[in-house]
Amino acid sequence: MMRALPAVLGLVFLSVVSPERAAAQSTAADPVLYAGYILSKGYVVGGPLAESGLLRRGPDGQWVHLGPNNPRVNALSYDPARPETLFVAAGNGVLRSFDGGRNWRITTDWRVTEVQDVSVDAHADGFVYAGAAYGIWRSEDGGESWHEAVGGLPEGKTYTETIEADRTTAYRVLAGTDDGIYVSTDGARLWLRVGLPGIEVLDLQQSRSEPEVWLAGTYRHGLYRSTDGGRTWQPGPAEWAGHSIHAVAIDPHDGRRMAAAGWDTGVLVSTDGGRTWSRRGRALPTDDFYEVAFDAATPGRILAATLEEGLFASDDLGRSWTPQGLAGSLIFDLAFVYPR
Amino acid sequence: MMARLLLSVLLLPVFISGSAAQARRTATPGELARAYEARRDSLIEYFVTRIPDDDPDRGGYFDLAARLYRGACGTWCIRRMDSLMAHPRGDMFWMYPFVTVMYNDRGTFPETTRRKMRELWRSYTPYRGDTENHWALYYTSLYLAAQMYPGEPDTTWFTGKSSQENMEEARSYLISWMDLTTSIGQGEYDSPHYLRVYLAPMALLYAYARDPAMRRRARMMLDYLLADFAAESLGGLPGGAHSRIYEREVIRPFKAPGGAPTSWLLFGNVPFQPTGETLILALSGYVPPPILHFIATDRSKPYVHRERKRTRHRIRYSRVRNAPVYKYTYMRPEYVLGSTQGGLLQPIQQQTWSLVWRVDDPREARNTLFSLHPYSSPVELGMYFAELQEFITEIVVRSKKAYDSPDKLTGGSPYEQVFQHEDALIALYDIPPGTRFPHVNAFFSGDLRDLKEDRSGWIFARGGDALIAVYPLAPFRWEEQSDVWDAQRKHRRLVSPHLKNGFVVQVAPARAYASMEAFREAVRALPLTVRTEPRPSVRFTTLRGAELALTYGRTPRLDGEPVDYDGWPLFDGPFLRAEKGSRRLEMRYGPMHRLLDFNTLTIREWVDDSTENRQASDMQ
Repeated sequence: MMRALPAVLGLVFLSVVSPERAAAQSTAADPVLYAGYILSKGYVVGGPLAESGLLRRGPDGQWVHLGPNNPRVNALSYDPARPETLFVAAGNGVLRSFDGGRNWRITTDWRVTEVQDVSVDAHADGFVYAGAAYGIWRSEDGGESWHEAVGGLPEGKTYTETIEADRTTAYRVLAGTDDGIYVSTDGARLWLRVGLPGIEVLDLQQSRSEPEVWLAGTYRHGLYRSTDGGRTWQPGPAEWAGHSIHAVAIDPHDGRRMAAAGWDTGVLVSTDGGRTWSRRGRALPTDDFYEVAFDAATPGRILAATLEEGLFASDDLGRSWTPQGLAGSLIFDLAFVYPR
Repeated sequence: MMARLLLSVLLLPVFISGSAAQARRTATPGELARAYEARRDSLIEYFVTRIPDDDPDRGGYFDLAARLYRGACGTWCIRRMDSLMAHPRGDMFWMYPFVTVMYNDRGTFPETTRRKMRELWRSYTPYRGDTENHWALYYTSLYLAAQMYPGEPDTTWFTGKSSQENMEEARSYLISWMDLTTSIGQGEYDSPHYLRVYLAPMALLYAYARDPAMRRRARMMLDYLLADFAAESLGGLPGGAHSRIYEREVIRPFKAPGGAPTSWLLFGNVPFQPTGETLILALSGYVPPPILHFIATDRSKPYVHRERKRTRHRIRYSRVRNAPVYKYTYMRPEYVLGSTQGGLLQPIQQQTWSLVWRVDDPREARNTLFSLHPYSSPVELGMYFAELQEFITEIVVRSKKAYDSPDKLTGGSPYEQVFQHEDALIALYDIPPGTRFPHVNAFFSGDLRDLKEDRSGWIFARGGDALIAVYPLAPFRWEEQSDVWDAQRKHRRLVSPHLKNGFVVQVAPARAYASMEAFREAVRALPLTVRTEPRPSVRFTTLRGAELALTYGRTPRLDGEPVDYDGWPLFDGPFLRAEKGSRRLEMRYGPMHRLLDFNTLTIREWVDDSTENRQASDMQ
C-alpha cells in the first residue's frame, strides 16, 4: 500500500542520477538497461498522449527515449548475436528494431494483440516467442512472420503473461499462463504443463549463472522456485503465498542473490538461492511494485520499479535506496542488452 | 403467390398510401429523402458556423471538415489545422476525424500543410486500443490513409509497414470484423454511447474507399447497424439492454451520444443534437433506405424482437472467447422493455435490462427504470483486460469513475439472471457472502408519477403512458439521490441489502386500464409465488396470461417449457430476421423487403404483394 511520498514526488522522469555517479557505475561496454514505461498517472486510452514507450539508460545514467511514443511496451528482448536487433512486446503487437531502437516495425498483424512478453531463442536462429492476451505466437524467421503456437494449451486458457526461452537449450521455452507453467522443447509447437495448474503466472526468470534455477511470480499465490530447469516447482515462503508477485529477478553475477516484488510486498530479497527471503524496501514510498531486476552493470544492485512512484536502486540488498527517476510511471520491464 | 418485384420509386408510394395507418407512413421516398437532406444540411451548417472566423483558438477537425466540404474555409482553416497538428493526441480518436479532414481537403490546404498532414502518419504513433470500436476506428483510418498515400515505403509510416501492407492488414481486419458481426453478433452490441463510433468508420469507408467491394461492404454495414438500432429504439431513444452505457446516460436516455443524435439525422424523430460522428455520416453521402425509416418510427403495433450478440473477447476466467448474449426486447407505442440473460457479458458498463417510456419531449426526461447488482471485481476486469489484476480496478476507475462505487447504476454481475416475456420480467440475484457491494440497486426516476408502495408488496408507478408494477423479493430502503445532471433534481434509488434477491416487473399501457387503480387491482390479482431460499425463485402469471418461472441458476420456463437458448436467432422479429452464422439480414416492413447478403455482397429489395405481414397484430 502506498505511503507518504518522500522528496521524489513529481513527474520527473528523464534522469535523476548525477552524471558523475552514473558514469562511475556504467561504461559503454556494460550491459545496457532498457525500460518499457508509461507516464501513467492520469492517462487513459484516447486521452492526451502520455510519455511512453522505450527508454535506454545511457553511460551517463541519463534516460533517453527511443523510437515511437508507444503507449504500452510490456517487455523487451534482443538477439544476442546481433544486439542491435531488439523486439518489444507492446499493445500494438510485437515491434522489431534493427538499429538499437531508433526505427521500428510492427511485425505482427491484427491477429496478435496486447502482447505481454517476447523472448528471442539465443540458440535457434530466427526463433522468437511472444506471449499475448490470446495465446502464444512463434516466429521462425526473426519476426518476419508469426504463427499461433498454442498446441497443448487448453482451449480458452491461453492468456500468457510471461515467456522465456531457455538460454542454454535451443527450442526450449517456458510460458507462464493463467493456468500454470508450460514447457515446450520443440520451439513452441507443443506445450506440456509442468506446474501450478489453475494459477496465473506473472513472471518467469532463469538464472544466468545456474541455468537450472528458475523463479516464478504468480497472481495471489506467491513465489515459486525450480532447481531442475523448470521441470518441477516448489512454493516459496508461506508468508507470501497469498500475495501477487509481479516480478522476480536473479543476480547475473551471483545466482544466490534473488529478488521479488509485487502487490503490498515491498521488495523480497534472498541471498541463499531462494531458500529464505527477507522483506526489504520499507523506506520506499509504496509497497507496490511492477518490476524488479538486478543491475547487470553493477553487481548486487537491485532495481525496483514502484507503482508510479519511480525507479529505485539499492546497493545493499534493499536496506537503503536511491531514486533513479521515472516518477509517475509504470515501468513494465527492465531489461539488459549485453554487447557482443 | 409471393410475386417479388424490384422496389422502385414508383411502386413505393402506392404501397405506402395504400396501407397507411399512421400519418408518417404516407411519406414517400422522395419526401423522406428531402427531409433527410434538410437535416443533413442543417447539421453541416451547424459545424460550418459553430466557430467564428475570427476565433483561431477553438474548433476541431469536425469543424474543419465541414468547412472544407462546403468550400467555406479561408485562412481560419489553415491556421487552425496547423495548430491542431502541432499536438496530435487521442490515438484512434485522433485518426478518424483527421482522415475526415484529409478527404475533404480537395485542394484547399497549401502544400506545406499537406506535407505536415502526411508527416503525422510517420511521426505520431496511435495506440490501436483494446476495444471493438477502437479497432474499427484504427483500421478504417489506416485503410483510408494508406489509400491516400499509395506506394509509399515502410519508413514513412508509424507502423513501419508500407502503404500496401497497411491497407492489406486493415482490409483483412475490417472484413473479419464484418464477418464476425454478421455471423454471431456484435460484441459491443447496441451501445447508446458507442454506436456512433461504428457508424462513423463505416460512413468513412462508404464515402472514400475506392475499392467498390469495400464501399459496398461499408454501405451494407451501415444499413446493418442502423437496422439493429432502429428495431430497438423508441422515439429515437435506444431501449432495453445495452453492452456499454455511461452513468450519466443511463438515467437520461436522450443524452447518449450514439442514440438520439443518430436518430435525429437519419429519421428526424427526436430533437436535434450535433455530434462529430453524425457529421461524418452527413458528409458521407449515405442516404438511409426508406425501410429503415419505417422500422425506426412505426410503433403502431407491439412486437417482440430477439437478437443474439456475443461478449467482448474474453482473456481470462472463461474457456469461451465470445459467449453468446441473448437479447429480448418488447416494443410498443408507449414503452420498450428489454433485457439480456444476465451475467458478465461486458466489462464495466453493461445494462442488463431497462424500461424506457415514451415522452413528448425527451430532452430533460429521466424516462427509465432498471435494477442491477453493483458488481465490482478484478475478476470481471481481468476477464476482459490484459492488465495486472491487483492494479486493474484503479486503472479503470481513472476513466470510469463510478465502476467501484456501491451506488453505481451501470454494470453487469455474475450474480444476476433475467428472464423476460413480452412486458413482464423477472430479475433474480444470488450474491455470495463476502461479495463487494452486497446489495442491489434499482433506479426510480423522479419523473415517475403515482409512485405507491402497496400492501401487497408491489410498488406501482406511472411513467408516461406506461403503467409499472415492481415486486421486490426482499426488504429494501429508499435513498434519495441527486441527479448527476442537475443537483436540484432528485431520484429515488431502491437499495436492498439482501443477498438472495430480485424483482418481478410488469408493465402495461395506460390505455388498457380505466385507471391506475384498475391496473393495480389487476396486478394484485396475478398469481405470484416467490421464495428466496435456498435460491431465489419466482413463478408469475403475467397480465397477458403467460406463466413465467425462473429459479436462479436454472433455465427459465415459459408456460412450463424451457427457453430454447440454443435456437436463439441472430435477429428475429417483425422487422428483422437473420439466422446465426448466416452473414445475411433480411429487413421487412409490411410487404417491403431489403436483404443484405454479406456472402455475395449484394443488397436485394423487393415488394411482396401477398398480404403476409409478420407484425404481431395479436399482441395488442
